Amino acid sequence: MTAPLLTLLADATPGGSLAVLFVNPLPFPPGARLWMLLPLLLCVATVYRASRVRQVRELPLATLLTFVNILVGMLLIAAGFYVLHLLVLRFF
Amino acid sequence: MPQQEPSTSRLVQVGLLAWLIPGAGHYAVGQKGLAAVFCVAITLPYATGLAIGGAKSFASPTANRWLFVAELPIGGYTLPAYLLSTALDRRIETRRQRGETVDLTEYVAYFPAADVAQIYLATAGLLNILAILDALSRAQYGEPTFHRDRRPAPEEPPAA
Repeated sequence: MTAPLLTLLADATPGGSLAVLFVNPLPFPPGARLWMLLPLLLCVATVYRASRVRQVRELPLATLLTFVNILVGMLLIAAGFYVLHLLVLRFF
Repeated sequence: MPQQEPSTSRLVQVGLLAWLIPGAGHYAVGQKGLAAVFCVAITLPYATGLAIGGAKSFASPTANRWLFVAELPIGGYTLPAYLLSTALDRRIETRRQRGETVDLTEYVAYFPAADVAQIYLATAGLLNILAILDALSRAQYGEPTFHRDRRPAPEEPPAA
């Protein structure tokens, strides 16, 4: 039952103008790569915090703090590597 | 008073539910709010990754074995995606046998979208491992994963 349905879904698109989610990749703007960090980070912070709270009402603030913590940490790491990159270019 | 330990079959049931659908394990232990949170926060990156990359190569153990392994912790999503991937492989093969030229970019994303898709899919899979462990912890101890060590030790019975 499932296989013919999926084959039908796969058949619906090639050669046609209809783009089907998960069959045809979505167009991805070239400048979007770094910005895609933010929603993923939010999901990671949410799941991480959800595995530590007893009730959902504790979640929003804890998630926000974790989100900011990870984001600032990653920005510092990026800045550190950028400085290292500049130093390498300068001295080697 | 220490709560009654759940049976092994109950824990297996919760684990399987959490493996099939993110949040389903939490729903089974009565944590409906957390179930919704886990479901959304894990389904979103998985669906985004698969939509950006396409199922053909991004849910295929032959095209990208280690990514597929990372996706396996979400069985209920990865199995249909794998079936779609094999259906697409068959479809492309049929088109080639008919003499058609198949442009693979119709089905497969390349750099930089491929990088983003892989990271999203792998992260979603790994996040569901955390969700499964948390569901099991809540089923067994009634506490989230990282609070088990804070539980007070059961009182010693008075010496006779």
